[in-house]
Amino acid sequence: MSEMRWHPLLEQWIITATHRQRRTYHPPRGACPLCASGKGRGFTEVPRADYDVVVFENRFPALQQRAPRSAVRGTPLTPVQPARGICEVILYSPEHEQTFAGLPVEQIYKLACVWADRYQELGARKFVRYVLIFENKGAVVGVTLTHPHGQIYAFPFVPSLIQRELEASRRYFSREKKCLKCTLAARERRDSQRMIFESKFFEAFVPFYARWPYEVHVQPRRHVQDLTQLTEGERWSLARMLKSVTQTYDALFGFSLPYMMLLHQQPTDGRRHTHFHFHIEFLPPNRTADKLKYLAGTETGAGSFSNDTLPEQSAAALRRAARRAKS
Amino acid sequence: MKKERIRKPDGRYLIYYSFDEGEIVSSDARPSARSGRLQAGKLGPRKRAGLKAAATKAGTKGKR
Repeated sequence: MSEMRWHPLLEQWIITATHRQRRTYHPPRGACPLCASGKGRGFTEVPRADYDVVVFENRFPALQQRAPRSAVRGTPLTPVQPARGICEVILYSPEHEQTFAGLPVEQIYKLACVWADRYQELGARKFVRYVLIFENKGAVVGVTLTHPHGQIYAFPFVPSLIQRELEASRRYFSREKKCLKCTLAARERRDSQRMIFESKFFEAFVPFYARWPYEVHVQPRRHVQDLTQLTEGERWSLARMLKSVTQTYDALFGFSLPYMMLLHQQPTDGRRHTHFHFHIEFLPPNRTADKLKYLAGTETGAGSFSNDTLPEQSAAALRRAARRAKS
Repeated sequence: MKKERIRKPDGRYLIYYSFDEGEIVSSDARPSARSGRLQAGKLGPRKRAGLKAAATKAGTKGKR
C-alpha cells in the first residue's frame, strides 16, 4: 500500500509505503545486494562490477512511476493522491568497504557529473517537481546496507523544508535585492570563526545557525541554483571540497562518522527560482565520539532545535581535525 | 560521460555510467587553471589579535 496523505495542520504531504517494511535489513557481508553479481553471489542489484558509477530504481521505493491505487479515499480536508515519483539508488563504487571519504577526487568528480545528469533527466519529467539527492551514512542514521551508496528521490511536490528555504530566500531577495545565502556566506568569510575550508569556487563552514553539533554547509561562491550550472572547474572544486569535508569528519573522532548529506538544488517545477542558492548540507548526528543527538520531544514534536555545542567551537574542532586529516 | 541503460528482469532500469580517461583531467593539472587548493579556514591576524585582547581584558576584570 502506498499513497500521499495531506497533513492539514502542517500543510505537507505524508507518504505511506508499507512495502518498505520488507526491505533488506543489515544483510551479512556475503549477501550484500549492492555488490556485483557473480563470484558465488548469485543475482544481485548490479550485474557487472566494471562501472564508474551505477544508478538503478530502488527495489523498495517510497514513490513509484506507476503508483498503486490508494488504500483509502481522501476528503477535501485530507486529500489523498497516488505516491507518484521515482526513487533511485546510486552506487559510488563496486568496492563494498569503500566510503565517500575514501573515494579518489576523480571518482567524486564523476559522481558530481552523474548527480547533475540525474537531476536534469529526472527533473525533466513533467510530474517531478523536486529532485532530492542525498546520502544517509551509518547505522545510527538508519542505513540498512553498508555498501557505499546514495539515493535520489524525484518528488511530485517540493518538500516542506525546501519550500521554507525557498520562501525565505525569495522574501530576502525581494526586500534586499540580493541573495540570502550569498549574504550569509560573505558574513562567514568576514567573521571566519566558523569557516572550515575555502577555495576559489567553494567554501565549507559551520553555519551561524547550525541545528546539529557538527553541521557543515558547502556552497559555491558563484550564485547558481543547481549542479548543472557549475563549470567544469567548479565541479572539480566541489569534488575536492567534499573529499576534504568527509575526511575531516572521519578525523574528528577517529572513526568513520555517520552523517546525512543533502543537496539543496532549485525545484524542477517549471518556475524561476533565481533567488535560490545551491548548497550541500552535512548533518552528522554525533555530538561527541560516543553520544548522539536525538531528534526528541522539542525537535520532532515542536520543530524547535537545541544545539548542545557552539558552532564556533565545533568549527575550531573541525579545523583541527582537518589538519590531522591532512598530516 | 557515457550512459548504458538496461532493463532488469523485474522491469526496473539500471544505468551504467562510464567516463573516458580524457574527460577526467583535474582543472588543477591544466596550466591555465589557478590553483584550486583548499585552505583550511584560519583566523586572520587582526581577528586573532582582537580575540586575544578581549580575552586578556576579560581575564583582568575577572581577577579584580
